[in-house]
Amino acid sequence: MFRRSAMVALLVPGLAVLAFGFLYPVAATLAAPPDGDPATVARETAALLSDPYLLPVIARTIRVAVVTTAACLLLGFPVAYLISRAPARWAGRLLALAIFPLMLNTVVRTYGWLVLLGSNGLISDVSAALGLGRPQLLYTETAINLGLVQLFLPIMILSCYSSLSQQDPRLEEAARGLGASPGRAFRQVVLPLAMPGALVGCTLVFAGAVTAFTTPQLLGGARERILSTLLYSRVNVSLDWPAASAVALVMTVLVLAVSVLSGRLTPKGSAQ
Amino acid sequence: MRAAPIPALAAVCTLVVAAGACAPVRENDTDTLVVSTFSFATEEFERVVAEPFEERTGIRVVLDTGNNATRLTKLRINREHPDTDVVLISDYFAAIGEDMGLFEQVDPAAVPNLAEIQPWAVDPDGYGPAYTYQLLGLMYRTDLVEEPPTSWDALWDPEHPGGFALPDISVSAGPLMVLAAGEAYGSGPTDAETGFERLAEIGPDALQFYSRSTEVSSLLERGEIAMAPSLDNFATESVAAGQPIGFAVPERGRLMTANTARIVAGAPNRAGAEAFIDFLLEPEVQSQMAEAFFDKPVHPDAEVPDLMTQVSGDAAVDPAGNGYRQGDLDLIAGERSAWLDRYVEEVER
Repeated sequence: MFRRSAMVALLVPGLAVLAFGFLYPVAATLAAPPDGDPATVARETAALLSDPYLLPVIARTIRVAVVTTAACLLLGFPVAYLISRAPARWAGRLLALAIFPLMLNTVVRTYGWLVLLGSNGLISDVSAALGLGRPQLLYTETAINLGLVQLFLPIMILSCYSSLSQQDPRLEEAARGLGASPGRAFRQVVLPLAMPGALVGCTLVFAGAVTAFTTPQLLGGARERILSTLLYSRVNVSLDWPAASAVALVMTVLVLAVSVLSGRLTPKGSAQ
Repeated sequence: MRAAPIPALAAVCTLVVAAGACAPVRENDTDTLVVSTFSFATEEFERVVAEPFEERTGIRVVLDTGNNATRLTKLRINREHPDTDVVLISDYFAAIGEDMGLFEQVDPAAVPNLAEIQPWAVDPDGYGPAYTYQLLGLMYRTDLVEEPPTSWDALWDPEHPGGFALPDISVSAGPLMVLAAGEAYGSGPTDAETGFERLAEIGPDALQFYSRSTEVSSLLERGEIAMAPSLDNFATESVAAGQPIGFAVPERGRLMTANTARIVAGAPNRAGAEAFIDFLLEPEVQSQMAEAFFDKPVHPDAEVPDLMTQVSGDAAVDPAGNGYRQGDLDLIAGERSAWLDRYVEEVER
């Protein structure tokens, strides 16, 4: 074993990189961008939170993130459960298949949706063939949700799988043996034990959905603005850094609030 | 005994990280020229501009690429210790940078080609010149639009088949379109009021507000829309790729945007920067840029490829003589925050 002082010394380079390469620039960007001071940022933040046009943007961002997280959980948990209970020689292959979308470039993946949801795309063609007309799918909030669910589903599956695969399957069998129905065994044994992984997955997906840029930009467009696309306009169009910092501040608070909440919800003593 | 190497190792790691983060400051560095340029067609730019310039002058060219806003931001953050010499940037961002005092005037004696280029391309305040330009017009699908449009009216025509898109205010075509509508339907190219009012009428009908230049080509090529106001170089690229795309020059409301070459205030290699700008304006270099990545020349002796005149007409050779002019850049730059909010609230509904 290393002595404590040696451990501390070994942490120094990593911490130095984190402090100077991440914490300092983030704090500087949030509080005092090159063009402003904390007071200006505070004023811009107050303006942002009281602007009747911008409040719907914040609301849309939260809605998109909540819907994406819920959909990922509903779709991802059963997949993770099945993989964790699959024979060992299959689990690895199935897991690789589940995370395959993560290997694709975001722009490529998003263009796939553009083709699929477009007015000449497959869904539109099927709908027209059924006599239902051609619905406008692209450049809607639904399109953003679809794109984000596909993007983040692998992360949810991985997080849930990490909890589920560490459960001893005999616990579930024991519950069944003691007379619990399959549903009850799942609810009272599997689900509580899988909570930590599911919560980590929810936090990661929520944070990702709040901050995602390419997918909402390409699938939502200018009308379906969310905080990340608003941030882009503030930086790249009006070059108004204090206003951009205000947007970034709101996004950071949203993500932090959700991680704190998820930390509170995680059962004590369940650290793995 | 065992612990001693570990703090040493930690110290070495910290030093390596710190050293890696620092680069020597350039001062009076006449051997190197740092050129900040667009991240588009970088390889071709290396081939027809950077490498020939290196061969002629012996100055090593280093390219720093990115979009306009990012590069302007870099210049601004490094204002006290500039490490960039020349920046190729669109006229609108150049106007913002000028307000921030990021550029230096050019000595006309050091850039003899300034006297040769089209007069509109010379900056009235003595800053670096425009070296190429793009025309705003209507890009359309030749197979979906039966008669080529001749005016911006096509966007307001309720019969337009196939739908249309508009530029977002974040791309160059956005603010230009406000001014073009002002010129076509109001008192002139500074009548932004009329421009906003007219665009607000059709905003709700637009399928999408494109925020990347590649997005407009993609929307047209996928057949999502039949037309969109756009810069002519995207039409040229689509036509060159064999797509059924046309470009209409409107009879009224002719606005263009230019890319300018600016010398950074306090540039470590000012002489090299001026030599580079002069090189960029030479007829052969201008011809090659037109051939390689459709940058329309401003030097009258440069050769304009036939494809460009096919797509954009005579304005591809002489924009000013064909009624095209740059937007009021001080107006666009000064009002940028107000315009962004107004566009979002009134047009992008």
